[in-house]
Amino acid sequence: MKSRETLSQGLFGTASGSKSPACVKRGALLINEGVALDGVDCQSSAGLAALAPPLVGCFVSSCPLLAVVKRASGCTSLTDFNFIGSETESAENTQCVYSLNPRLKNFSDWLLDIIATGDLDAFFPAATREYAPLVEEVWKDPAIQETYKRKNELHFLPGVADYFLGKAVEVSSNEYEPSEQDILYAEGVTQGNGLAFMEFQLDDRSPMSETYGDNLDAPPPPLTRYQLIRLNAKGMNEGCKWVEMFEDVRVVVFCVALSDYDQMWVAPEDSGSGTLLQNKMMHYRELFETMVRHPCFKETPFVLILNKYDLFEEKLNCVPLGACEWFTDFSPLRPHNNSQSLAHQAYYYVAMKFKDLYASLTGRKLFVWQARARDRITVDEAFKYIREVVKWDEEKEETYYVGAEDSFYSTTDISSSPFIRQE
Amino acid sequence: MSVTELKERHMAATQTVNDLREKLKQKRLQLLDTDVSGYARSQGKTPVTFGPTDLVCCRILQGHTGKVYSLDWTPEKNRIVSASQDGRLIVWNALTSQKTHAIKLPCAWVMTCAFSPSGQSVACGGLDSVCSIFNLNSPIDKDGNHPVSRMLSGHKGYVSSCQYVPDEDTHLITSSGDQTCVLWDITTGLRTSVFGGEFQSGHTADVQSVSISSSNPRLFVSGSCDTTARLWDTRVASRAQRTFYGHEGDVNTVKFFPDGNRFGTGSEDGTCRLFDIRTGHQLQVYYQPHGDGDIPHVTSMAFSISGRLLFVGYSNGDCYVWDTLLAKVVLNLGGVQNSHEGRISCLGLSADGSALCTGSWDTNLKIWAFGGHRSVI
Repeated sequence: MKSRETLSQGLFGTASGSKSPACVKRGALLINEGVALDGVDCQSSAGLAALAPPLVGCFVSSCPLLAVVKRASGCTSLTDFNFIGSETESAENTQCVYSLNPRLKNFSDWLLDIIATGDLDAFFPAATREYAPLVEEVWKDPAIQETYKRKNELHFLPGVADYFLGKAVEVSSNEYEPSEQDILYAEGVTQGNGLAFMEFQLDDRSPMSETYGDNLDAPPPPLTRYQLIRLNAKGMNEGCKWVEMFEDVRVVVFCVALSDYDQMWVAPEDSGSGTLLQNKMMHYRELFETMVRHPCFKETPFVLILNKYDLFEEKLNCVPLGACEWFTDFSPLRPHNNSQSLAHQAYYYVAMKFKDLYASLTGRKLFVWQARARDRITVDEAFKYIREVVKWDEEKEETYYVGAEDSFYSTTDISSSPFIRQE
Repeated sequence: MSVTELKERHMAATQTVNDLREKLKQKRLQLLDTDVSGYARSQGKTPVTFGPTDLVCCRILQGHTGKVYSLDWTPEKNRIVSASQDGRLIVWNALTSQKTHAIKLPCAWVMTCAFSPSGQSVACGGLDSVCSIFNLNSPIDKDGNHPVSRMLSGHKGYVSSCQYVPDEDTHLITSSGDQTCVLWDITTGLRTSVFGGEFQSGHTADVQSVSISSSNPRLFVSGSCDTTARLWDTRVASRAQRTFYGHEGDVNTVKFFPDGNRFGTGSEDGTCRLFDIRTGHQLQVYYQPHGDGDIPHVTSMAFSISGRLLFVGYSNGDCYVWDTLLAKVVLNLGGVQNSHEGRISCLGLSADGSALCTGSWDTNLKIWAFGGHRSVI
């Protein structure tokens, strides 16, 4: 059930401090914010069982969509959602563009009820095939489609909702084989809280080393075995006790979705911000700070992966970076004066913000890379970069000269950007 | 009702609860005229004395290549199971130091292990949120691995601790990072009861440890990162029988006192406390101030068979032996010859009480026994 493992888990690994001559194991800890990293074969078996978790996840996460439509159809007072501005005073039972027909409304009410009582596990994924046609009908209903157009206002709807809901019936059949793209899109929609790890091998050759290409008689370079451990960020908070178990990892990879700078989430009551709804980027910043400050990572290098660059690029055209309170002093230069686009400048600005934060906490350099997680090539490059960081960190221990601050591995794509306003 | 109104009401309710709790605390302090050590001293009791050869390290169990996280003794014979970060469970013969089983785990991030009352199976759980059961008598498969005989899945967070119900090979209780404890029926793999969780009043943070009373197996205590310990009756899953406050940090470990009327807790605030389940009072605090900066956390604890001695393992490698009645440290196993070089993560007493086993992050386990009772190899 390889693909089920893939979909419901992700990537797994163990860290081992011991070195053996034949192969060296290094562990990398990946703190994930929705990165879909492939590299696993997609041998699928029962399409239903494999994809059911994400489909169920979509059902569960689409409940804000259903809830909003439910309210809209009843046209009750919607001050919280600020949804149908002009229609709050209309009489009950008025039809509007968001009204579902009664049969579909009954189904959606039933779904919302079982989610509310927490009994979803009792019905799904067992009943997925039975309900899939109904789900597809609900999805295709113009009321839902209208609501979905305003998805930017719904903070808890997963971005992949339309991808899976559109082919609900197809996916729910027994013979369906998930494609690689399905697996990539399913990442992050599962309900499990466990971690996932994956072992992989990369050879030790790097473009920087001398043995590259010249010496044909030499034995093949030892294959270094790496293990990647993916942690669901939902399981992390100030009291996360199990982080100590990862004390021995060689590097911590912190993934941040760039496009989340204007997204909100529900922050727990006792968090520092004091508000119920918190900007996601601010949350990532807090989480990052907690991780960096944690005593067990005192000596561990951090790599920051700024992900979803493509979505970030698109979003910047409509929503300013200042939507996140941390980035309010971003002042981009006009794009036509230089070759760097707005997205580029914003990327470097965000990278500098994180680097400054890291330097103020540890006095060390933060390594940053960008990625488009569903694009295999950028993820591949990110991994090669991480591997270089790990090797550089090891070599740093073995050489004895003090103050070797300037490594020839740059800490971002270019080592500094002239576009950031000097403070 | 708007979100802000709800928030205000929530804050007001929390304030009321905290005020009431403070009043309860004051009332308890008025009723408590003395603690255990005060009373014992007034009765003229003197601390237990330990000579240099009284408790020695008689075995060193080496074999793990990673930090040891958990250990458990069998109730019958002298066998120990230990779980380590290298992804293995090793079953040792405590008398000969030989390894009888080395079980490779599907998920290397294991946090707890337990022996079944019959000694036929071991259970383990960790960051994979699943409690796996291995039958020690089943044959090894063609890859040389022990097959998992049952996987108990259902937790939404890591499994921090597990213990079999005394004399029942078919039931065990797990505690988890999803703030619940669960009683499992192993034959079906289903949850019999869930203690705490979303719709019930239970712990409000990760549960770190459970301990089942040996005199009344229907009662168990759980300790959690919300700084409380709760007493549960397995027949009543909806709410805890009693909640015990007092600690100022995460409660890392709980252990029932041998008579079943009291239990001890150990916490990140560096103290151990003894609570009475009938009155709910905190009977004693066990704390030795250190002097230098960081207060070492309590990671594990065990009572001797009579209850007079309390063995506590700390995060700085110390292992204090406390005189329970007089609240004095009578021996520090972290300072003697052959002591561990790293944090003591787990410890346990053998069924007959003749030996103590400690497991540490230095990858070794050490068995300590009274000089002369178990010959040193």
